[in-house]
Amino acid sequence: MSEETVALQPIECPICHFQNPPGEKFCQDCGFLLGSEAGEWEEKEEKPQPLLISSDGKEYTLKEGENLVGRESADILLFYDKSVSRKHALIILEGDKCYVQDLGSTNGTFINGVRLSPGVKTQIYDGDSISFGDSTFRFSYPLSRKEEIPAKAILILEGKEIPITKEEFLIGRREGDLIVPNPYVSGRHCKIYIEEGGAFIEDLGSTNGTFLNGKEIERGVKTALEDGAIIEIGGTKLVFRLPGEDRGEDREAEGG
Amino acid sequence: MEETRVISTVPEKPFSLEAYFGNRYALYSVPTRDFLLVRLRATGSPQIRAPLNLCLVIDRSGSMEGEPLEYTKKACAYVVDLLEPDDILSIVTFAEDVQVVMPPRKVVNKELIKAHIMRIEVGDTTNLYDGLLVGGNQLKSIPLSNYTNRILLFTDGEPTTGIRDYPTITQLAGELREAGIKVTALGFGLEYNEELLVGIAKRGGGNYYYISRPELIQEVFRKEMESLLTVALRNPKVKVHLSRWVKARDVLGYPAEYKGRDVEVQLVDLEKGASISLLMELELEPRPKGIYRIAKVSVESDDLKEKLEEDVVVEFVEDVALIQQGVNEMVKKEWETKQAARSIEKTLMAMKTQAISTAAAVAELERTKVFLANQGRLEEAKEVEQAIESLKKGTSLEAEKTLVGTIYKMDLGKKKEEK
Repeated sequence: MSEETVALQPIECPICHFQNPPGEKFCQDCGFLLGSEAGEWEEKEEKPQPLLISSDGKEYTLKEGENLVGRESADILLFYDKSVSRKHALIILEGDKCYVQDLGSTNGTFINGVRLSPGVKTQIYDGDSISFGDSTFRFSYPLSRKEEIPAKAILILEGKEIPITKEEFLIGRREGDLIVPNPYVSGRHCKIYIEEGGAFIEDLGSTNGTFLNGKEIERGVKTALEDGAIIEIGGTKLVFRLPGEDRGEDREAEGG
Repeated sequence: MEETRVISTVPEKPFSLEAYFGNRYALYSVPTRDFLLVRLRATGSPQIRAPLNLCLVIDRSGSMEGEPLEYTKKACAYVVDLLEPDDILSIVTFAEDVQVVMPPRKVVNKELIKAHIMRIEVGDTTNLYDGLLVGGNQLKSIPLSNYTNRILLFTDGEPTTGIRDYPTITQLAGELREAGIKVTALGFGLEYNEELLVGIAKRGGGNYYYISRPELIQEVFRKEMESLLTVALRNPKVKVHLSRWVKARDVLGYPAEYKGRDVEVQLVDLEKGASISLLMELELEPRPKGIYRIAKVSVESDDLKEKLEEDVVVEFVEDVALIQQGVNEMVKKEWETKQAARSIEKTLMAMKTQAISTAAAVAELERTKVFLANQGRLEEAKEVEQAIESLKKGTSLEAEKTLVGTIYKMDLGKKKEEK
């Protein structure tokens, strides 16, 4: 009785960890003789393959360079889909980076639901959804994950966190790493510097000035920015925060 | 209750499937390339054959006048004698135009059918394409699925009227095959083009024969009928499901369909007492040491009552000495046979382009003949012997017509089992 209960559980393959249905003799995925002795594996860096996976699970491996998507003599041949143009789009693989370029198709190429302008190379990342006409695929390529650059500091604007990932961070109405659409903010209003010695803010000669904790700062001079400082430009308030714990010590030292 | 007991009382299974990899072992640390051999056999007890739906498509061009046509009529009458009342026969002849001598009819009144045959008269030119087309239409007027459907196309010359380009003609044979009709091509004399006829047989899924003399026409028809009347497995399709890290590099002798991890190969009909061997080159990626199934092989056919399935297992090891011990001789032998076919092909090409002397060609073929005889491929060895005789007589055209058939047969991997 107890044996039967055991047999009904899925069998995990010791080599590839695929969950096999009970009663299976060989692993359905890698073919390993289940229940036999598994050898050690000198783990080799297996380079993950860049794949385009259709909604019904069909996998297309992308080759280095250009991969033509289309309805006729293409690398990724979607002959069954009339919404796909003969030469629909290119998928361009350059090492770890992968791009999609629409070739002026009739029904368009979409990345995560956004239609691409014809002829423009757009980078795609692992997990993106790509559509050619009505055919939708998932792009799978772990090497092309969107890089998460750790934030050096954060600005909080109306409860929203804006990461500062660069050493110089421009704020303005017309240009900047942060655009503040407020008529009292100047085109190029102020700049935040993240340096080894600490964080600073400089007013770039704005019309209405930059206020730090309620006090206007001198234009053209770098002023020290403390964690938790409130920056006000043209009436818009921003809270400056430095990430985490290493600040705690300083604060203690100040307190003592 | 215990069903296994019941199975053991069943005499012998009519079909068997074997599958072997070129080596029982593979080195775990490097990629391995070797051949997978799939062998399908029709062994067992006699079975009730499916009735035939047969069409004789006969060349009656001017060159057939006299002995050739008389012998052909005799051969056709002989075919009538071999058929049963459940079989269906139709007869079509072609010269500048096509005549339906007899539309599809059950073979009940044999004398009447023979009388029709005897009335065939020679015409002028050779409209082979239309002959084949009309022959196919005769068969198609019968529900094909209940029958073994075949055209015997007999010709002694080049197509001279109607559609004459080879690709269109062989494509027609391919279309007939897709519709469930196989085409066997029989070439008589020295005037026909053997590439075209082998092409028709290849695309049409049938056999190819070269007939050198009129007296042999009946014997060759008999041979084809014997094979046709013993067809045990129609349209067998081999499916090879590969493990994830196994890639199929090439299938020898047959066109293959690649569908993700599956490779599908449509084989020719299998006669009772015969086997078909299929070779496929695989590449295995390195694996952790252990025992793996590299492929699961199965066969599909309407004539199969139960599914035939076979696991191909390889052990991944570190010890190089094991690799030497693990060689599968059967796979090796089959591969050598395929190589022999390539060697004949090379000699044939060299003969046609006059790149080698007759003496050199004879020497090459002698070597191949001995090899084939040693392999137990007596039929092929005999054909090579015939080609050698033709060469010595100075009729290299005859040798060429024989050898293309030998190559085709070897590529199909079909073999009659010795009794």
